[in-house]
Formats: sequence, structure tokens, C-alpha cells
Amino acid sequence: MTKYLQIALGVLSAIGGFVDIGDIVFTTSAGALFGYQLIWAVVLSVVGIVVFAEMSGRVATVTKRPVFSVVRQRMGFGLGLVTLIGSQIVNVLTLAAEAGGVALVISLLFNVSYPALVAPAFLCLALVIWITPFNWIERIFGYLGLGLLVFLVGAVHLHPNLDHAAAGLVPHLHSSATYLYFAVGLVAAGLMPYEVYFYSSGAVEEGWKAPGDLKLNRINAILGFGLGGILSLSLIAVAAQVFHPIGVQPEFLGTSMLGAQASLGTAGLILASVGILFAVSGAAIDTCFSGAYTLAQFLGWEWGKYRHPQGAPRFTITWMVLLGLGLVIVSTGVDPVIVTEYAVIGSVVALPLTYLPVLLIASDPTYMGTHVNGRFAKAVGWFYMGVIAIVAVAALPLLIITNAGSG
Amino acid sequence: MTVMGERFSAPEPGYLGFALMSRRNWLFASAACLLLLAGCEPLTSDELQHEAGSIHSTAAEGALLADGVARQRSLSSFVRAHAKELADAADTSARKLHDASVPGSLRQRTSKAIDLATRTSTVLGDLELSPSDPQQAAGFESKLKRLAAAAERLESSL
Repeated sequence: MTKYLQIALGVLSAIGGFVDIGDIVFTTSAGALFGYQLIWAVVLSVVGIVVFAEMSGRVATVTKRPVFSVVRQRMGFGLGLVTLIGSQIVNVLTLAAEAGGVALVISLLFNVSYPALVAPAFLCLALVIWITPFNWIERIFGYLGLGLLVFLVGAVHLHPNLDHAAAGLVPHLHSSATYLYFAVGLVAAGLMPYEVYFYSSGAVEEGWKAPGDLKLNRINAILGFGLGGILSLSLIAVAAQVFHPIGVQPEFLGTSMLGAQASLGTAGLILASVGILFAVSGAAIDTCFSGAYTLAQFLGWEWGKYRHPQGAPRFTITWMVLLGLGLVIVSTGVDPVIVTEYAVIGSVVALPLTYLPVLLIASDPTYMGTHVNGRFAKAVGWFYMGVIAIVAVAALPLLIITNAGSG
Repeated sequence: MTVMGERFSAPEPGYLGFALMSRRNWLFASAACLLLLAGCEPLTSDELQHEAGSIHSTAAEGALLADGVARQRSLSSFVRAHAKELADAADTSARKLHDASVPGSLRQRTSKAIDLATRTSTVLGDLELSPSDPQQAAGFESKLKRLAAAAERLESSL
């Protein structure tokens, strides 16, 4: 039983990283606008995040150093600082959006005024983080976020067109800039840096040891992020079946929930709401910890949820300040969905600076000993560095040209 | 050395203030121009097509929401909250088109789009008020489907 519970880290990282509020709306929009044509982008990003999560978990397990510590050591203070600033901006924006998303789901489910729920949502998140042990946070939010599997059931129930889905595995030569924007966005969303910051720090928090826990790391990366990918594909399939034929262009979180309802009725709506609520809460906690982890690791502070707040006071103050900043952003009335879409595109700045050091260290036998990357892992890693470079160059121009995908 | 010295020599007294003033004036002038352009630039066919697409999307989604009520497969709290979001979106489209400077060639179709957006918002408002009445919802669904089809035709004509 304990072994099964141990994959919770991968599940939480993946649920929180792959299917956060922005991804839910973004993926639903991709399916509604282009049917199954962007499945390849999700598959590309899932394989990429599995590869880099496995590498970062292995580096953390072998060297006892999480990703951001590796980033600073390998890239030096200057580039490390650029990565820190970029990733903190993205973290705060994402945290604001996710916590705002918690309020949004509750307001949709119970028809309560959204602004009235914003401050209580942040307070609840702060209490959960303060009170709940790390392994229980993983389990509660990782496993209850699995309510999103209702989209997989819904997709199967709607009898997806398998020929169209198979054709979507191959990129289309599309003239539309909007198509390219969604492709780049889906890849960037899957590779958000905070996922590996959280995942590798979690590996250190859980005290993974080489060589025994390397297998657990691999299973976590493949099953956890693979599951996140399946959920994204299910969202695309439901949108392709329900919204694409009638010309709906989703802009709201409620539209994704409506997709589950259209497929499975009231039960689908309730399960989707619970799944989204816990997935979005999990993403808020992921990003909150991720921001505190990166700052503490960069500055060499004591860090970790396993330590009592008095044992890591600056780490504790950091996550509280990040929550406070998130509350300020959401209190301005900005739409959480829009914020997270901009955060996804903004994260491309931190992508190469996060993943390159991981690849370099994981390929360096002086750090990794016998657990160094093999030829295949190196080749796949460098292929993804090329993908990341293309995404990093294309994201901002496409955001501007397509007016954030709205044409 | 001379060139470097010239390039990096300290500005004459008052130069910096002048430069800042010029820059500030330039920024004000640019902002004023942008505001003027935003207010006066005539609506283009592409923009109208985009708004017609939004109205089509909102009405189609509203019809799907009403269908859930008609078939008793939804929660009234969710219907009420989401119908309000959609009605607000339709209102935004209507307001945007109403405030736009419309060239003569697009006047008739813009009026049609405003009418469709307003009617979509009204029906969604009715759905918001009666989120658990299947019979009424069936009526709302067919109205919203008709509005979605009309918006789609308008979108295609542009």
C-alpha cells in the first residue's frame, strides 16, 4: 500500500503542472478550435516532461541537490539570478491564477459571488500548507485531483473519432498563426519549470536514496506525468466532440465543466468540479512551494516542508509572502484564466535556463557516477533542448500576432 | 580618446531635463494619439467577423447549457453562474460594437450583430432566472440555437 502511495509526488506534480486552470481552459480551447489536430503537441510535451522530470529526480536523488541548486551551480550567479527572477514572476502569476481558480470553481458550483471567495480561498490554502504534512498534501490533492479522470470516461463515452485522433498525432501544415500559438502554448504548458522545481525538491524532501529509489523516481515520472498527459488528451477529445462541431470557442472555466456535463450529466459535472477544484488547489500549492524552494535554494537558506516552520523560518516566510502577492494580484479583479495563459507563455524565458543545467549535470559522470545519462537519454534530452529553443523564440511573437489566441 | 570623450562627456546643464521633458511629451503625445485612434478608428470587416464569431460561440454554448437543464442533467447553481458569465460576454460584444465607429458599408451588418448579441444576452438572462425549469429551458435552447445559426451566417457573410 505504501508503495502505491509513494507515486503521489509524481501524480501531484503532474496534476498540478499539467492540468492547472490555464491548461484546462487552454486545452479545451485547442480541442474546440482544432478538433484532434493538436494531439501531437500534448504528446510531445508529455514525453519531454517525463524525460526531464526523471532526470531532475535522478539528479536530486544521487546528488541530494534539487534543480535550482543545480541551476545556480552550473549556470553561475548571473544567469542563475535571471532564471530565479523569471521563474519567480511566472510562479507568482501562476499562484495567483490557481488560487483565484479555486474561488472560481466554488463560485460556479455554488453560485456564490467570486470576489467574496478570493480572500477565503487564499486563507484556506495557507492553513492547508501550514497544517498538513507534505506527504498528505501530495496524497490529498494528487489523488482527489484524479476526479479529472471523469474527462477520460466522458471522452470514451462520446465515442471519439479514432481516425481523426490518430491523424492528430502528426503535425499539420497549417497556415493559421492561431494553430501555431496553441501548439507552442501546449508544449510550453507541459514543460512549465515549476513542475521540475517542485518534483525534484519533493524528492529531496522525501529523502529518496540511490540506487533504491531511482526506480520509484522513474515510475513517478512516467506514471504521474503520463497520467497528466492522458487527462490533457481527454480534455481535447471532449472538446473536439462537444464544442468543435457547434463552434464554441471556450473562454471560461465553466465551459470545461460543461463539457463533462454534456457527456455524463450531473454526475460528470460534480466529479469534474471536484477534480478541477483539487487539481487547481494542488497547482496553487505546487507553485507556492516551488517559489519558496527556488529562492531558498538559490540563497542557500534552510528549506523544506518537512522542517518545522521554526527550522526553516525564511522558507516559511517566503511562501507566505508569495501567497500574499498572489492575493494582491487576484484582488485587482484580473481574470485568473488570462493570467495563467500569460504565465505559460512567459515561462518560456525560464525554460532553457532550467532544463539545460539539468541535462548537463545528468550527463556528467563526475556528479552522477554510474547513474549518468546513457546515449539515448542524452539524445532525447538534446532533441528537447531544440524544441525548447523553438518554443522560446516563437512564443512571444505568436502571443502578440494572435492576440493571445483570440485571432 | 577624443571620440570616446565626446561620446561620454557629461551633458550640458539642463540637457537631461530637456531630454526627459521631450521624452515625457513624446509619451503623452503617443498616448493621446493611441486613445484618439482607439476611439475613432473605424470598425473593420475582420473585427466585425470576430465579434460575430464570439456571439455565435456564446449562443451555441448557452444552448448547450439550456439543453442540460431541459434534460435535467445539470445543477441549477452552476447553470445560474455560467449563464451569467455568458450573458456578460454577449453584453460585452454588444457594447463593443455599439461604441465602435462603423463605416457605411458595415452599418447594417453591425446593427444585426448588436441585435443578435442583445437577444442572446436576454435569453441567457432568462435562463439565469429559471435555471431548473426543463420546459422553459427547452424554449431557451431552441431560441439560442437560432441565434447561434444567425450569428454564424453573419460571420460567414463577412
